[in-house]
Amino acid sequence: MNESEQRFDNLRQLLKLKQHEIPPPGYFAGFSSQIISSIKEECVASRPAQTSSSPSWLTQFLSIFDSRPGLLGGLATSMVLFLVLGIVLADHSDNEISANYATDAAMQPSSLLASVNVPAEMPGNDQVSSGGITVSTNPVTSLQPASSLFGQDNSLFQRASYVPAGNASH
Amino acid sequence: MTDTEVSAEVPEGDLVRRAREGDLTAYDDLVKRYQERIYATIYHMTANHEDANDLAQDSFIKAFSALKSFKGGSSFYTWLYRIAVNKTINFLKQRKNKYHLSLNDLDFNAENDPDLVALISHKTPLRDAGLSELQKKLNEALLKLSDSHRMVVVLHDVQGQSHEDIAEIMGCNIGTVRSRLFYARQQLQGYLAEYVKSV
Repeated sequence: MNESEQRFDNLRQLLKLKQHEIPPPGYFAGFSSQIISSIKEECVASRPAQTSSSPSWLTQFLSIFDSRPGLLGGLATSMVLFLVLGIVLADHSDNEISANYATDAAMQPSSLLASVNVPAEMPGNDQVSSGGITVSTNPVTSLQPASSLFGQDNSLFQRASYVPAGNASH
Repeated sequence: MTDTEVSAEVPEGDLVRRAREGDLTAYDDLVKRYQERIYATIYHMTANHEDANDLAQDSFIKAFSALKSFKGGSSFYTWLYRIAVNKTINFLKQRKNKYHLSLNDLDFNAENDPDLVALISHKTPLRDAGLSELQKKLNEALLKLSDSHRMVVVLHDVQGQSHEDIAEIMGCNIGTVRSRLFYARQQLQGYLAEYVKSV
């Protein structure tokens, strides 16, 4: 016996009193039969419900946690973490999309200019010029005039020339 | 009739296998084998006869429904204890500090127990205190401990379980069991100083 055990020797003697606490006489006579009848009742009560709604694999899965409640806590924690991670990722991708959109909007005038300067036939350019109208896969810049409205080379607009009747001879 | 006398010749593994297949007679034998120990553990934790009765029955019923998940990694006895211990600790958490002592009577042998006779025969407060009064003081002191500390004392010093078994039942390592036991005994010695010190 080590020192720690000797130190608590008197206490251990006192605790032996607990071993003499016994339930009322005949207490265990019907104990097991009560349990068995409760189990039978539970089986009868759960049989219709089990066939209709609760699948056996689910019952088996849930019964794992009866002896290991710590597992249930771990599962719940991981599910919460997964949910939080999902929310964070979703929020992050939303921000990215809105940031990209803002960048596109800010780039809008320059892209117009770019469409003026870059020749339509240039390889690698995804915009195709068609009769002065730039067709693009970019939804923002599509159907924009290839050059400014008041540019010289815009074939959509023709300069009006008005000559008064009196001056026709000149 | 003690629980160990019931169907002692039938190996536990056979009874467990048959019970898993739905044989209630086999499970009845298992219940009879462990009912007293399970009841006693819960009773020493709750210090209430009615609560111990309900929790012991619930533990056996729960164990039967969870029997299919029992893989046999540990003994059935340890596994059953684990269910009972978890049920009891959950119950105590819900009950919090609303204790109502309904102590079982001491058996006739208590007065003849050499350890207890030795305690009472000395000139200590124990000599004047009756055994039932001492029983009440002891239970009150035990209830002052935290649930996990009380559980370790009950399993080791009252039920005589080994450190290894307690670690498996409570799902912790042996070092934790030892430190909890040391701390719990220290606390108890403080609470019961007038009875323990002068022995």
